[in-house]
Amino acid sequence: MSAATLDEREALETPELSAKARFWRRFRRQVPALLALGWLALVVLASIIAPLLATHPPLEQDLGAVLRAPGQDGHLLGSDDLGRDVYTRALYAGRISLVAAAQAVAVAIALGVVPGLVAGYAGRRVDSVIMRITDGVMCFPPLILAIAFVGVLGPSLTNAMFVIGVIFAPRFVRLVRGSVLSVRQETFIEASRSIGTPTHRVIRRHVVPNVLSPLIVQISLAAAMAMLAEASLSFLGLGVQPPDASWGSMIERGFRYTAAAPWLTVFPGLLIALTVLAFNVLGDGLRDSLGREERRAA
Amino acid sequence: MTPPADRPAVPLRKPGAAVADPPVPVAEVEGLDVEFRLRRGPLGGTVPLRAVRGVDLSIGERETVGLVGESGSGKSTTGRALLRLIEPTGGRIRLDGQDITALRGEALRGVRRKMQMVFQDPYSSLDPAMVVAESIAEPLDTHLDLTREQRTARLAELMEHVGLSRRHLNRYPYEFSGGQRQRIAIARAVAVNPRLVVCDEAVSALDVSTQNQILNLLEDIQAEFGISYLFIAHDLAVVRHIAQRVAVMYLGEIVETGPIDRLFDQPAHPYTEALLSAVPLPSPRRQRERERIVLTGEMPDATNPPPGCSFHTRCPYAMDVCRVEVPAETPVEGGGSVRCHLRG
Repeated sequence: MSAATLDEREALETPELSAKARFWRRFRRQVPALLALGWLALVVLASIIAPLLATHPPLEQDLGAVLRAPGQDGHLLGSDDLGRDVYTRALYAGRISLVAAAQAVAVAIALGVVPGLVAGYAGRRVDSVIMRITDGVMCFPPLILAIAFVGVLGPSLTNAMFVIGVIFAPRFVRLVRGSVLSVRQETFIEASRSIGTPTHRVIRRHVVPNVLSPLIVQISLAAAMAMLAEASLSFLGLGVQPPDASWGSMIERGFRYTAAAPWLTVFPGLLIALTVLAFNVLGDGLRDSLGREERRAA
Repeated sequence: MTPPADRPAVPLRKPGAAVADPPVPVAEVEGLDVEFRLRRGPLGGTVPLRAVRGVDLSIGERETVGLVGESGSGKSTTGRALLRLIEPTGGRIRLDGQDITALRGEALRGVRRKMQMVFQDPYSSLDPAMVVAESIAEPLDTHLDLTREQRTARLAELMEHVGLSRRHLNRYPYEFSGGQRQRIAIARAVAVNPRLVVCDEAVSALDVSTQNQILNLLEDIQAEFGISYLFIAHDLAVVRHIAQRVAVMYLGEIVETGPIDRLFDQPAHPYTEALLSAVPLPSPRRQRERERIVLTGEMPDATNPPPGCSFHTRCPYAMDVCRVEVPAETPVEGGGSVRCHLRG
């Protein structure tokens, strides 16, 4: 009986695999999210293999060929005011922009997830203390605080992104705490306690998986915000320092020649816009495919 | 109370005494108190709410004891305190003669193997992010050290015991009906051969035909595994179907206990009488002719229970003494006991 055999095989699939399979089945239908993922993969890959794709050394100046239009003199996307190749610099700047965004998000996760879990699960006084601190941090406008810190510690992208990460952390605390609170109410947590499952395993097996979906979405959205923050700070000259460049600092540099050489601002601007958009679209797509509404038919 | 270690391995009997010592009940609760502190007022002052007051209960080997009462009567709290899911504020809980009232940490987790629970809502008692196999395996993974093959075999065996197929093991809860989910929850509860299973309104969320299937399943499992049940329900018809003895709770106290037939045919407490008169009778003629006792008013505020008998505010037979004096527990002819001045 072929039907039974099929079912039998389905039953032998490992649970992890079928959970992933279900996610992919839904995610594959999200065309915009797939395009966004593709774009991000392209950007990341290009940053990694930048030396192979570059047409010029990134810092090489050619004062005899400044402000060349795209396509001229072998400059694919033109050259800047010091005769550096915009295409090559954009490749290398992408590295810095991505790493900076990743750094801020990593700091935010590191500082946000565990306190959120603890606050949500422990409740009472622990929760109050953690949440008051969180509220305090949330009072600061991110960019202003970052500017203040950089003013004190000296302009450096690492400092700036660390501060951005600290300021993003409360979002993660609140998100994780909120999810934990709603999960903790569920009978299956009490069921797990009644079984005698140790607390750490209750958190690992029941709480974390149920918190993961909103967390992944939030990571994607936070990456977009971190990237914008990096661009803003670098545009203000408070982020990456010359001769290195990020997309934000390229705009800052090219900004003075907007009329004469618009490509200096348009291309990095386009890269920032597309990448930030991609993170946002990916976040939405993830939310829709990780969502639990289908599981909660009742 | 005597820890089990002090109990002689062979029970000592007085020469010539009857053969049977009363057997050690599987679960025994003595003077159980549970008090919650409710936060009230802007200054965060707390008000005590005694949800369970001096409850005595014992459940024998392979016995099903029904625990009935209105919502808010403390029956679920009693069940949860018995399983140490809620901290009792007073009284003793014994499981197989072992005092578990004060156990903590590792020791408490150890005895949890012997007592499991089936919850009311089969939609929320299973983790939606886990396949059925993972849910049922949770007690196995916590309490037993099984090899992969043993684990798989046990899971398949459990599924078949509850009338499902091993092919369902890798499905998610949302793919099942309420009745099927309750079967899964039962499989999880009996996975490690517990001595006691507390069924908290285990069939209330199901439709009537499914209720019967689940009740029969619970009975089959009891016969097979020798489990005792504390069956918490508000539906007396369901309790009559499955229980051998019943305890009736009102405002945190047990007002009457007794064997199922005596309690249903000759209720001794006016509250039990009122509860029973609310059960629809199968015959329309008898239903019409029956005198229905409709209780007036609501259950009193549990933070401020009335003095004397807690039922006097709604009791049709309330006397002066009821408003002053707490009725003592009195044995009832035909088995069980009652707390009522009418029978004192």
